[in-house]
Amino acid sequence: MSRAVPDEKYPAYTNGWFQVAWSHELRRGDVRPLRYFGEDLVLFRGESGLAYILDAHCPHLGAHLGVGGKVAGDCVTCPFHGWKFDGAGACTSVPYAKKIPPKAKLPSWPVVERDGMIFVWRHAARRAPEHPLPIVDGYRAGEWTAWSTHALTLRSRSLDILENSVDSPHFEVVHGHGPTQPEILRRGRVLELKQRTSSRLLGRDVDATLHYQLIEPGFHYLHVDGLPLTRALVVSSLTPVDEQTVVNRLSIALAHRGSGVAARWLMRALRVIIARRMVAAYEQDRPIWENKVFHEAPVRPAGDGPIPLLRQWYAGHAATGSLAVVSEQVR
Amino acid sequence: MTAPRFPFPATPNSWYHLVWSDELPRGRTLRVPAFSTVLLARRRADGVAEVMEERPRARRTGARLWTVREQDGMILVHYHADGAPPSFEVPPIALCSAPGWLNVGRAEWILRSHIQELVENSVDLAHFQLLHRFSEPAQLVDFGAQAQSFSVTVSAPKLVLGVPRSMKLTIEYHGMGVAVGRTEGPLRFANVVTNLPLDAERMRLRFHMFARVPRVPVVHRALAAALRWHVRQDVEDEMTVLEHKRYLERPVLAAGDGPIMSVRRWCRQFYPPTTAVSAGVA
Repeated sequence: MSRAVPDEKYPAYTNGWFQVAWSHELRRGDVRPLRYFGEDLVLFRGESGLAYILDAHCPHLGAHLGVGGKVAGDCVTCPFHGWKFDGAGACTSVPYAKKIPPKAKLPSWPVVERDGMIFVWRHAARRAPEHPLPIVDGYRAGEWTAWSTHALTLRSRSLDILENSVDSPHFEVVHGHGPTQPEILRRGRVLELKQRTSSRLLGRDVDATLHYQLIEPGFHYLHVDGLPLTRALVVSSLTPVDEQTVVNRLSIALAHRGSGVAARWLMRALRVIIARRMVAAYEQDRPIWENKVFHEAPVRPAGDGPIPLLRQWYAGHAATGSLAVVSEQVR
Repeated sequence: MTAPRFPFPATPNSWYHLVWSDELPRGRTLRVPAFSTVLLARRRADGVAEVMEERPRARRTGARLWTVREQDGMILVHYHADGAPPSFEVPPIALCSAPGWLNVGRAEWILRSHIQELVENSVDLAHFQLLHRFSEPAQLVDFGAQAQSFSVTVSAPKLVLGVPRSMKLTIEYHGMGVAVGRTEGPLRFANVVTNLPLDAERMRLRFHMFARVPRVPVVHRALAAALRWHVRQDVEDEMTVLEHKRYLERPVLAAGDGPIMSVRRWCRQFYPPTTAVSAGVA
């Protein structure tokens, strides 16, 4: 038993796509400092509308481009000496020098913006994306309400939070749900989890089906079927800030039913209620995540969730040699 | 767990400005945090200022008295990692008593930075334009380092209350703790700038500002207020950069950057040889 998750087997940072912001948080010309994966980064949106992420510290004298930096065209200007860097990290101007030093460049990070979310590709060896940003099955913008967005900063690690998602007995205890029959299935690099829950919503007993897709450690989504009037979709991202902290972003939408103005407004109202319930349930887990002790071989009474499968899946996404084949020996 | 922010010790061996003389009347004792400890500064009944550690680390040595100088309205204390006596003195700063120069006030800040950043900053020609409202890149007129002092002179038009005025600025450092900056040009002012290491992460920056102005009270007051405002703007813009920057041992420099690497070499003499600023490790 140890306090910390063993680093070499389950590192805090895996390889893959991670959400770093919602689109509405970054207007044209905005510059933001980011801290993820233990690194200082700068996120900015050029005048073209494209978002870029670079290492934060200017190679000249080390100023943080995200603190006081300004956008000019599709470049970010350093607040210290005015050096300009484009979205690929190339220095395009040193205002007081005729010649740009050949070493004046910054590592850039691959960014994809889709469906109102901004994602970055992270790889331990800084390799280019090995797969495209995963698709959220069943999502088409017009058919769903706008996202209700919630960011939770947790003093925890991604793996602890993921274990919570697949650890069904505690789900019951913490959230007061009815009995559940979890079903876990591995499809290549993806873990699929199906679970039935019952709870009371708007004065009715609701039997809902949760269909959880763990695409990669930073990117998952959950379809909730069987809600009154509608279905819900939760896109959940886990982005490690450092080895002790992780940001969980939840984007919650409900499926529209009917196209009338009244139906749309009803769905928006319902979205507020359901999102509030979901976030409250997440908040109940915070003390568990934040005080959890990692057991390398947890004591497993019968009926405990499929944690070993999850850990193998996680370790596979952390392996630097990508597409590592994870052994299929579970069960 | 995380690597230290700076590749050198928090406190170089130098003279440091601990308190202003007028903060310490006879009989008073002040607690002054500095050098990751707490110092006591007191003025005896006979007028002599003394500095000692509040809780001496080695009981045997007892309350060792630090080496102190009192000059130009400042109580300076000498820090040496091995307790060695001073190898240099801070020369008197003439303008503090020169006729025609008026004291226009003091200012101070605590910032998350290392004093070497401030020393390097004085020869960082390219930063004047963005952070100190120079209307064109500053030009190096002169740089010379001699023993424990160096002097740098730059020239550039500076925007003073929105109007570009041709200006020459000379900064002299005496050790890494005490500097004097003077301008020549239509507006003449001068700052005594002092750096005091507080601990591994923070330092105290103090300014004592002087201007050469007609001795007409209204002019004096207006100008003093304008100058204080100006200094505050300049320092506070820069503070944001300094507090968030990373110290690069191998900066990518461009033509026009100023003698930054010369100043880094000059700084090495103030660190113990074993911890001298490394040329960087692979």
